[in-house]
Amino acid sequence: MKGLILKDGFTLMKQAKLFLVMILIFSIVPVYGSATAMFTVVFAAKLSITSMSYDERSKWNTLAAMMPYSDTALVLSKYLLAYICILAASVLSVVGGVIRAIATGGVLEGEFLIYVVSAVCLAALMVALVFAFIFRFGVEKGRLAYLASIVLVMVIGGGATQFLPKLTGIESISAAAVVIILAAFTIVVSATSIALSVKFYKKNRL
Amino acid sequence: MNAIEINSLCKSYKDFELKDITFSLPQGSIIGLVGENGAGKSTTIKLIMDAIERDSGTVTVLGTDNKSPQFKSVKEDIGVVLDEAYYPEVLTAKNVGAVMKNTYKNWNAEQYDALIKLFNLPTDKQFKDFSRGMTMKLAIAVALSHAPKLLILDEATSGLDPMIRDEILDIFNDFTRDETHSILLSSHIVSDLEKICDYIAFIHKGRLLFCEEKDVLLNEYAILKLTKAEFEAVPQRAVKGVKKSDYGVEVLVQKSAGSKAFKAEHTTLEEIILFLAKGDDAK
Repeated sequence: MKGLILKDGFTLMKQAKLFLVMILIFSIVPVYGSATAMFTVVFAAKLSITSMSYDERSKWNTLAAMMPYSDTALVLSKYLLAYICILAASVLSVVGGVIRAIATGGVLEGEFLIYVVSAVCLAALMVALVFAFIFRFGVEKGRLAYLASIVLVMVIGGGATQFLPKLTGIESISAAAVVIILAAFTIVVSATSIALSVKFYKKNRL
Repeated sequence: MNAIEINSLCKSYKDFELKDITFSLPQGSIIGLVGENGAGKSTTIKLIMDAIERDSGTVTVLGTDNKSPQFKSVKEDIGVVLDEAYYPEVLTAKNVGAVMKNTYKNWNAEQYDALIKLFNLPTDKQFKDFSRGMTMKLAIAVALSHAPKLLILDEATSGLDPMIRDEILDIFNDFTRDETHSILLSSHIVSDLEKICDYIAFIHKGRLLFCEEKDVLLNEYAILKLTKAEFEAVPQRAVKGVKKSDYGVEVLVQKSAGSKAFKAEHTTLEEIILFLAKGDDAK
């Protein structure tokens, strides 16, 4: 699978460099605050969709089917790439937050870290929703799913903080608890998405 | 041992059917899979590599059933060149080398670099700027650089100029000097197949019309140029194809079943295939 990740890495090199510069600028500029973290992480998830677009254009999967890779490995590599991008973006966001805190003479607040973890979960949720769609219908339609997933994920994110206390019956639920529930939800949705994507991938090569 | 064994292989799509394909490739040999565009050559190759699901039949490659879990590791020993290279367009030859190093356990970076040099390919030029000849050379360099025992080449020489084609055919010929090495070469350029193949399998409209040793085919078939009256005297069981014109009749005959009364002209593989395909269409 390392070869597949490497191939995507080479494919995304140009976009990744541009992305890196953008993240660092936005992370350090104080005016955008914690919203940058959300933007950064969600945008990172989009990079892996770009790699799928390159694959589709070159019909890479036709060649990959001739190589010693299983269908599961081919699908998993895309999820793994997305998680690597999300993780890298979240680390950069935290680094940006630290630099910003030092520059302004403050400290990195715990709330900011919770915000970054939430962003990671929401980006992973987007990946889960979009990837299954792409493996079933292709990248072009997947882009529409990406836009739809942004709205959906925002609704889920907002809903989690608004309605979770009512649903659970607990009056004041802590932000940390919301994040833990969100993370658990993300893991379940992601596992389902991976299983569905493998199934769609196998079906598409019939 | 046979490098490839295919038995009663079938695959059907809405508008195309590959029906009852049976042939084998003895180890150390080169088999040419010939047929018109859309005859089913690429489908057969995809089925051999288990890249698509078959409807029925069996395929054994290098002694392993291609549906068994072990087939994934057998793919390490198979070098494949498809009709296009299918690498993302922003990759360079150097990038491809790095990717393949992490794909094939037996990847030989020195050999890859040597082939890239031999083929005069740029290492840092993006793949989208490659000509078709460069593209195919890169794909061939990859296929040869992980110590394959079997090469599967799908239209690898199509669209290349004669000089490059000749160069590449020489490389394939060298590859089979090792008697454990075998090649399946699919092409609609019959002259290429005639040059290097030991066996010829002819697929026409999804059916295998014959699979035979090339030399046997060339000895067994002949062309007769006859008048219409002379044609009437040729035993019909020997007639495998007929081309009629105002000037006479050209007949493809099977020597063993025919009359020796007529002077048969030596034929080429291309003529045999054309006559047989037209004969099949006329049925």
